Amino acid sequence: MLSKKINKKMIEPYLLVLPALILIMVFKIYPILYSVIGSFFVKAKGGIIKFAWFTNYKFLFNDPTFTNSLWVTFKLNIFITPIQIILGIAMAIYLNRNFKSVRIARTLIYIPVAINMVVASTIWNMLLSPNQGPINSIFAKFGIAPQPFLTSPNQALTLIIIICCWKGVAYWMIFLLAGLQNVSPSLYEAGKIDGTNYFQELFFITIPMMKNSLKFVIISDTMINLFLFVPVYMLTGGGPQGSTDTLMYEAYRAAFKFANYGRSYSIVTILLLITFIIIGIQMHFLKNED
Amino acid sequence: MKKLFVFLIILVVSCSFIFAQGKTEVTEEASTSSTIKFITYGGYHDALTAVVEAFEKSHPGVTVEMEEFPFNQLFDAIEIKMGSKDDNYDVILTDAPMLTGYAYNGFIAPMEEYMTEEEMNSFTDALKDSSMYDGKFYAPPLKNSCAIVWYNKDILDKTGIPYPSSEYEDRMTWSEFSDICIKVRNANDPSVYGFTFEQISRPYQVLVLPNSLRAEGIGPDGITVDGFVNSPEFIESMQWYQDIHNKLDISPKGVAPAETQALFTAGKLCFLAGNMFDYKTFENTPDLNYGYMPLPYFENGTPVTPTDSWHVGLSNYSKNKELAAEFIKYLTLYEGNDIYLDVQGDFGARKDVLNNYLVDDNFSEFPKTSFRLAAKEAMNTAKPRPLILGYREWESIMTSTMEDIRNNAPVKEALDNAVNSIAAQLAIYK
Repeated sequence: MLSKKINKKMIEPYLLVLPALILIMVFKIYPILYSVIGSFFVKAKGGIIKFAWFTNYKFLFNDPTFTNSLWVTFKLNIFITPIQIILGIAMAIYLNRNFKSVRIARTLIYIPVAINMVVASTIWNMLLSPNQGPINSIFAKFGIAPQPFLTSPNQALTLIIIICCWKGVAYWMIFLLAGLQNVSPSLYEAGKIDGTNYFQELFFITIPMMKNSLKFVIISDTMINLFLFVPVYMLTGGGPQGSTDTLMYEAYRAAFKFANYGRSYSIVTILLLITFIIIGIQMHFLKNED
Repeated sequence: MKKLFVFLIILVVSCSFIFAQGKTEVTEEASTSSTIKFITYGGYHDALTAVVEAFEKSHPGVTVEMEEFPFNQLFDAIEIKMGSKDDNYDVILTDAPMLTGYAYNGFIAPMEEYMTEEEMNSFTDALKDSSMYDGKFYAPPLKNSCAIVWYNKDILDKTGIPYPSSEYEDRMTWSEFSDICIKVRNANDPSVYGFTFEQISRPYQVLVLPNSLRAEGIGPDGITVDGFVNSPEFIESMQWYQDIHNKLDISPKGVAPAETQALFTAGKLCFLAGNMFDYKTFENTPDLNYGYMPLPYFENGTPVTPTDSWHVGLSNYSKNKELAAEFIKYLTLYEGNDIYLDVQGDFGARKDVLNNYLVDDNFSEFPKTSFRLAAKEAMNTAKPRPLILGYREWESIMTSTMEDIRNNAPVKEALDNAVNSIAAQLAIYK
């Protein structure tokens, strides 16, 4: 009887975890391992697959398109992630106050998150059309010369960053707001007694107390931005002059446009490695201290 | 225990990868199904439906199922389905330059077993060549294509310019042509442009510019691009392509290929270098007063027009090859091809059809007289796109480069970058 109880108790947690574990294995672990293994194979005449050690990686590092897309991916992350987090914190602090129309403000700010990225990209594409776009029409009313927007290598990347921030800030803000609402008011009261000003309150109470939410947001946001694909696919196709060609878009092109799956798997494997390294560094610096 | 678990996972994934990718042998089972599954382009829906209905009528008990895709998704769909060796599909319709890659990858089977020498020689020499890979005849052409320049007579009237000649012999140079476009731009509302290629920045049409200066898009080995894509003649022609969009401002920027016909039918464009079968859209546009002329050429060069076809391939993984090959022949050579050309109003790939345009009274009145100009172009000035293994890579990079040049990127630098990118991509074929 006792052993039956022990067995049941021992098995129960595993059974509860099993459905999630199966899904993670099928949809996450399996594709990752498939890509890593696939990156060591090349397709030869007749569609025959051959083991080729690091041939795909050798081709990649000799390809200026790949090195450019690596640099573009870093550039995007250097800007998008900090902008989204700083604006997210600012908006969370603003919306954490009690003012009359706070619920309306929260809803309005959250609207971009509710719009599908494909739809949002299509709308931005129409707005930013150099010839018939409404933004250039408004510029013309103020005597500003028409801008090339997404057709200019100097403007396209900035616009992708702006669109991604517009779309993502409110999403991360919700997590930060939740973290902010868990900060005990007694800490602020104690701070006031000690004579803290606004900035001291922000940097010594608010942000440190939001550390767990902030850690989640920084890591998740970095991962999502490293794998950025939809706005590039929808708006620029990696151009003009490769200025918005991210690693994910390059992996897509290799697989679905060139049927060069070995190249695509290699890019994805490199991207995974980069993600692990960056997340590892972030976790090291953001680890909880007593 | 942990190590064993990790080892087992890697083993399972490795095996599944190798078995999924390495299934190279196709089971040649006896044909048990009387259904032909056909991956095709949605733009030919009506014509192909008519062919399918006629085929089913003449082959009782046989069903042809069409799976249609828009142009932008068709090639990705074929790569995915054929790349996974899906044996549910029997016939694929695809653009000419894809054939080399499909044959190399084993997606399609040669048709020589199912066609006679005479049948294979029924097509124009250029299109027969486009159907070959490694000395074998793979996929017969469904149709033909040719570019001519359509013009809006009302805009020319307003500008005070006489209508250009539609005769094959009276061809303008690009320089004479751009002078007319500048006049059009100056005499009309700023929203009216002079000229655009219908397929903006796509090599199918734009490659005629360097070709007209005798420059090639790739070397004879099908891999070398350095010295070809960045040759002085190529640069000169691409400089003109950039100028018409920027310095001369006769061609619109920010317009996609799908929007060019609408620009022309809306009276916002005077000249459109389009396909000769565009007349079907123009005929259905009320109050559009239009004409046509041959595609210009560079003064120090030679007249060149684009050509290519959609080809019908037999899936290498089909379990129903005999029946599928029967359908392919019906669609490209016999009654099915006549039905297709008639319903679609398209331009034929067979020599007998081309010769017929020059004498048949059905083609003696405007706008069908354009078939006569196109037939002459097809026999004299037509040049297909490069037939190379890495065509998709080449085309993708060239399209982006042409688009960058259109958007005012430094021409030589853009072409040098294209050379580096293409060379890196095509290295796997060496």
